[in-house]
Amino acid sequence: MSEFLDLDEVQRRILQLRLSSSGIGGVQGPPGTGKSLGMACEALRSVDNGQAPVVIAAFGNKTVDHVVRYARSLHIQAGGTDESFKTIACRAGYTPAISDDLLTIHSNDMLRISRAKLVFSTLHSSWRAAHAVSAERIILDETAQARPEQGFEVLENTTIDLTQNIPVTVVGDDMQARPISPGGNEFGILSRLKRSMPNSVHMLTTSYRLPEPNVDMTSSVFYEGKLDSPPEVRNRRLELRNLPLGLVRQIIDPDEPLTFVDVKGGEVEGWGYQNPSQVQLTHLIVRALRDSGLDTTDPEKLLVLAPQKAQVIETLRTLSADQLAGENVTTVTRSLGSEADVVIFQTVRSNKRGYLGMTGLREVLNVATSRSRRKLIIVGDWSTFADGFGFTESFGLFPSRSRRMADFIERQGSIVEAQPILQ
Amino acid sequence: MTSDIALAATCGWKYRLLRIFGVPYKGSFGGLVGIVVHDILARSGGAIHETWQRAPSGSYLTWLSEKTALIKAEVFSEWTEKFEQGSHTIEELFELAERRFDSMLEGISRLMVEKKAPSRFLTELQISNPGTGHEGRLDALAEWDDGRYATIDYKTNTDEAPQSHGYDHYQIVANGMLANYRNNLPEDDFNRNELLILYPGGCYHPHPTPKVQTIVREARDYVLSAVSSASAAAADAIRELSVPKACWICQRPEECGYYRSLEGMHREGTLPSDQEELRRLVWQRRYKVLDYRQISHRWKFMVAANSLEELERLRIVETGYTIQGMDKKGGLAVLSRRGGTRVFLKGDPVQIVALEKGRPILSCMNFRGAIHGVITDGIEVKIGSHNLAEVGRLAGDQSLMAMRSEVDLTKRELQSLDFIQRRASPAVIQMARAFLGVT
Repeated sequence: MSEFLDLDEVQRRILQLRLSSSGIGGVQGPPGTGKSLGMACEALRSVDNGQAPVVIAAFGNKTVDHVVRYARSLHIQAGGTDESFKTIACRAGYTPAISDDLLTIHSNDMLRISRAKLVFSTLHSSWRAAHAVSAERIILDETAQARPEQGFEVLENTTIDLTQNIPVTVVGDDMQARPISPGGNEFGILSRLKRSMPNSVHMLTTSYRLPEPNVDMTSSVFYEGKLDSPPEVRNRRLELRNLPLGLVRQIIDPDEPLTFVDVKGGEVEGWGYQNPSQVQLTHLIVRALRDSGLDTTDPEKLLVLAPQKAQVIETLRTLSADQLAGENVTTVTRSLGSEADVVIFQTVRSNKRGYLGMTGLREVLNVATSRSRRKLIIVGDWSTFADGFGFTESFGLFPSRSRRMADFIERQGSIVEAQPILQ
Repeated sequence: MTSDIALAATCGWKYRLLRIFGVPYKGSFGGLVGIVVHDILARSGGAIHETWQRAPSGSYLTWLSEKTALIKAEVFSEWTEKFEQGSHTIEELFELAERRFDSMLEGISRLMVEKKAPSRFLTELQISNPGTGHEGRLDALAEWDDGRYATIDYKTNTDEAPQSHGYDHYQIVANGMLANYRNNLPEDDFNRNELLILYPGGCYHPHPTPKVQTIVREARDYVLSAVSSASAAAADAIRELSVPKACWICQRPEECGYYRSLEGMHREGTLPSDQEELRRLVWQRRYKVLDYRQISHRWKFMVAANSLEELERLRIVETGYTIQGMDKKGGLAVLSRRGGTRVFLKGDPVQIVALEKGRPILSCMNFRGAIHGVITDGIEVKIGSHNLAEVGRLAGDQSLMAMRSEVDLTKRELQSLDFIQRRASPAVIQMARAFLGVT
């Protein structure tokens, strides 16, 4: 197996630590820092070292599949083949939820699972490995949103008769996600581990996704300035042709990776907050992007996000009616793990009190503003955003990190007043 | 669910072990055979109803065998893929299932001789009565035009006839109460409701005696208090249950003994400190999981408490759907609605309700699944609770409502907590402590 030359210095150091450890340790991976790559490397190296089977489990199917693809690609890169990967890996789980391209390595057959050196599943599907696997190493992803008992499911199903410690790597980012909780006051496995064993959690610090200045905004607002991007990523820019004139051109300007489009009013309270003005504006922007050569229906090219499902549904209806977008219009929560060249983030809330509601939560702001490889367009009410308060049932109102983002955008991004376009 | 109520009625601890402590249930081979047979029967509602209505008297069994042959083959084919070889082979499973299924058909055909065909024959009908917190899934419900109805329970897990007391009896009475609710009657009004347990080779008519009804209601109160994190109330309720426990025939004396002695030592203050701490940590998580379980039912309570117009305004439900077609290859029901959906996105869990005039919404025929796709004028739904043929038969020409729903995965979470508390090695407990954030 190769030495995984693709890894950067920090990734390599963390990998070595994990491979030489016999206990539990955590990896915090901010957006685009290569969590999945690191996990795949650790799993394959562990197999190389004769420490197998390795169980790799994540909260959601999409993430599991993502790691499987990385592992397969590394295996092939190291001289293996699709066929040889099939002999060492097994993707267990609920068949309809597994990506079509991975069905060849999917099986819930106990015999096949028991023979695999790499067993992939979701936390909830790990029961399929029960009595078939006695793990030598466990790697858990998305542990910021996983509750302890969900992690216990993997322990229950893969550590029967375990008498001594095995390495367990807990991966995730509690700045991007937390468990869904009845009262909102709940912490995932990674946050708990950081509390109990702070020295055992290491952070990846190089983002391979975020261009300049977006990476600096994410870094300063959420990661105490510890995050950086290499020059080739920092300088990555969007390529468009036949750009329109006027304000719309300013909004989609390919040389400006961070744009706030200020649109006042429009907030409607119903079954969830909606903002038709922001839908209308998003429609104009997406059409302009499409006319400038971007395939706006491709989720790799464009993501349209809003925290509130009601807003997502209205945006989806509007855009899909003109065949401008489809499943790439989604909620912020569901976009976790995705990235695209252009991201349009609708903040939805617009009021004089600065009430951002769930838009003001740090996880929502972080995820929504860190999906873009080349350009981020935030559509919202500037004054609500710049003086924003978040809200949770447990903590009530609190000053949102949107304020720090607004400070940053004012200094290093562009702000376009969009009211004239709508009029 | 009514199975929980029936379990609690036989023994409060048995219920607690399963639903609160998360002790895993090790099913028997006979039980697995029962699941396969139940699976065939659940899909055979159309075949049973058609035979009942149309077959010449005396040839019910022949008709039933012929009409269910394809369904049986379909179920066997699916089980061939998912069967996990253990001490029994798939051939043994199918042989026993076939034999038991044939015996079940005998019982059903006897019922057909006894009674004229109902006008409706509903299968796998889930009913929720939010007023009493009572919920259950009826194997079948036969309804006649004169207002009579029969609550039917398939007893497929054994070849034996059901007992005249105990679990089977409690369960069908609990289901019968839900059928009464569906007919806008007090839950104890069984005047028009006949209870029928169909078992291999026969049909049993249990009576909803006042005593059994009292036991069921007590057990229901117990279940509701036990899941509401109110452990003190649950502990009181367990002492008041009027059914004597039958520990000498219990399959779980070991697990029960473990938790009973643990709780006893905790109360007496004699539990070693490390175990006391683990107990406390695990109980904190159990309460959390139980809270999660409660929120997974929130939509039902909203539906019970509001008018359809209000529910639609709140986007909890969306009415006006009809079945546009079935994509049999993809296993999808395609539902159309003027203007499409404004509530659902791909991946959302959903409950489709076939609205019936004059009946409580949550007692109408319903189907559970997930949104597979959103189309211009509707939704594609992957139905998990019924096969497509039954969906078409039971909801084909009705006005449908799509309702928001949640998936309850708490059973496995509770099971993992039982593992940490009772079955894990010290090494694993150390990992669990780290997951919990305890040094």
